[in-house]
Amino acid sequence: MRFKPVDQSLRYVGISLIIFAMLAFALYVWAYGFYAYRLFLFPFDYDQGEGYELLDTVLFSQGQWPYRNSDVYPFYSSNYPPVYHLVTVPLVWIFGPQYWTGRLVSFISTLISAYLIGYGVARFRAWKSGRGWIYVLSGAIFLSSNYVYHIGPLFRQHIFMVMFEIGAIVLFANTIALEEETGKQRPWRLLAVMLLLLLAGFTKQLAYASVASIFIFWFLRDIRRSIIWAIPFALSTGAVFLFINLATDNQWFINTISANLNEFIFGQMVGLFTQWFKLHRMITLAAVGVTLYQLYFERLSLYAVWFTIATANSVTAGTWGAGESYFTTAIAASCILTGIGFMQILDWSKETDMHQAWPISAQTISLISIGALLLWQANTVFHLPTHTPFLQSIASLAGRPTETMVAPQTSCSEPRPPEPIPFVDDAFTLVGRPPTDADRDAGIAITTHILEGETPAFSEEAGFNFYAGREIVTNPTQLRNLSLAGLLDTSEMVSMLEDQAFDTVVFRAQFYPGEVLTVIGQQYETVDLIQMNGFVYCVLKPKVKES
Amino acid sequence: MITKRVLGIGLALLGTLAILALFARDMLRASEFRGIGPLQQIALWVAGAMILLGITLIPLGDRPA
Repeated sequence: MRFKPVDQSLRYVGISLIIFAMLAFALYVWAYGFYAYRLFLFPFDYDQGEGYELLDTVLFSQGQWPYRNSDVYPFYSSNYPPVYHLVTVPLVWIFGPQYWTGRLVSFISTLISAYLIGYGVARFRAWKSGRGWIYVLSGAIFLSSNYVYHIGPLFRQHIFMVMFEIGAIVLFANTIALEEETGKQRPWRLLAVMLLLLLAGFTKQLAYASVASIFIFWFLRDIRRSIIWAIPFALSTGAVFLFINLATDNQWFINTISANLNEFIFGQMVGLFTQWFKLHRMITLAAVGVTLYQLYFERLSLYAVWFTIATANSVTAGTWGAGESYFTTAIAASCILTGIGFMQILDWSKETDMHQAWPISAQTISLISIGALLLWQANTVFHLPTHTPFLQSIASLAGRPTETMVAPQTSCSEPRPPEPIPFVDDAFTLVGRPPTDADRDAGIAITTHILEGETPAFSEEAGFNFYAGREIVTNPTQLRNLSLAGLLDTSEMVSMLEDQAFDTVVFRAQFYPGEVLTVIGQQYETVDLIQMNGFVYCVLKPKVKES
Repeated sequence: MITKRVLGIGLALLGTLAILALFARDMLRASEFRGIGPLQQIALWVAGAMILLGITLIPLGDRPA
């Protein structure tokens, strides 16, 4: 088909916009890789709780369960299912208890997720060829989300669960499409979907939203089969659950279920929903548009059902201890639906141009619109380290400051004045700034305090004891959860602290139950305040007892 | 296979039940608080949207959902 010169010129505008958007997303992917690399080199907790995931992995590598009675020394239990840690075990066998092992596993899982998102878009329909860039961009948008950036390379299992969820959803969508196309059932592929769902659920409990999505979608398409498959799936899940519970003398149930029902904070939920929408409004609106289009003019796809349920389930981000990561499943679904929407628009415009003779072709208008929408999305998720003049120039060009002024977080010292951080983020939070050599030195300084004594530190983070080669004692957030649920007896812990059985105490946020904090206040005194990753850590030593 | 009409009826019923459940919970709960809480307000909006979506789907008839 021949286009008029003006149309051709405008088409170049559209293509240029898309190329600019691709460059912007490529920059975000670079920033993500840089942040991940800096985290791999950082040998302490970056996000509170990472060290306990490492400890879980170490315990599994030694053939032990991490679901334990927290009433007795070392007052430790995990509250997370085992799959992520089990996958990381071989790396711990080979390289020892290193933080980079789990961070690398998480990081790779996000790359696999991005690939699966692109694959999901590519296989949704028999598209017209030559649009591989949409598949690539759909995955890149996922990696460019501030939330994926923040948590992707952490030693946390959430994003690993998301990978299994995406895998299960994409495989199931393709399998159902294949079955309907050929009229032949594919039980082995469905079995693989169930296995992926099981892995997702035993990576983190939150995967139930994807499980529900698959069975609700299946129910819409084939009531009988959805019920037939749901029964053995539920039985298998229950059997694994019961097995772990029996093997851990009920500690699995106590720690992952009973003590995991934290209070709901309405303001936190509203704040996170507002931020999520502001950051991802283009892909969210696109996903809503495609969902409504499918609802009224086509058949609902699995991705539309998944997006709806995952978004609704993001309400749980309002529970204490939850956060932005709870939106990553909805973001993945939005990315797939956005890609599908763009493909449909381009298909539609190509068809239209064959029958219409407008001065500016529908294809050109579509390309310009898609390019503008992609640039909009790239702008709303702006985040970038700004430690070099070139990166500062990019931040300025995007209308952002070249650094962020923020006061260090502290729970145990006088407030400190704001200081410049060479990292700019439209969703600036406690994570995201690449750790520096100064942060590493700060971690070593805290460890030096521990090494001056002879016992493990009673620490709110495991990293210092790991670095010092000492035993890991306590899991503060889990102790808090157990205490609030009335499932913790702190008498042994309090008795040891009264006897000053620990040579060092390290606070970051004072998560411990009230009575534990009280006895620490009575028996220990602050000897040093050390700042690391934007937090003031308080190092406490035993008070001299009057005889 | 579920049709658009059945899906529409289902969504409308679900939304209605959700609203009834929200008010029933208030009536059964022994609390000093009178009125609709912020979370209930959101739930009411969602339930209302479900009813609206459901009703508009009913005329689409036997097309597959």
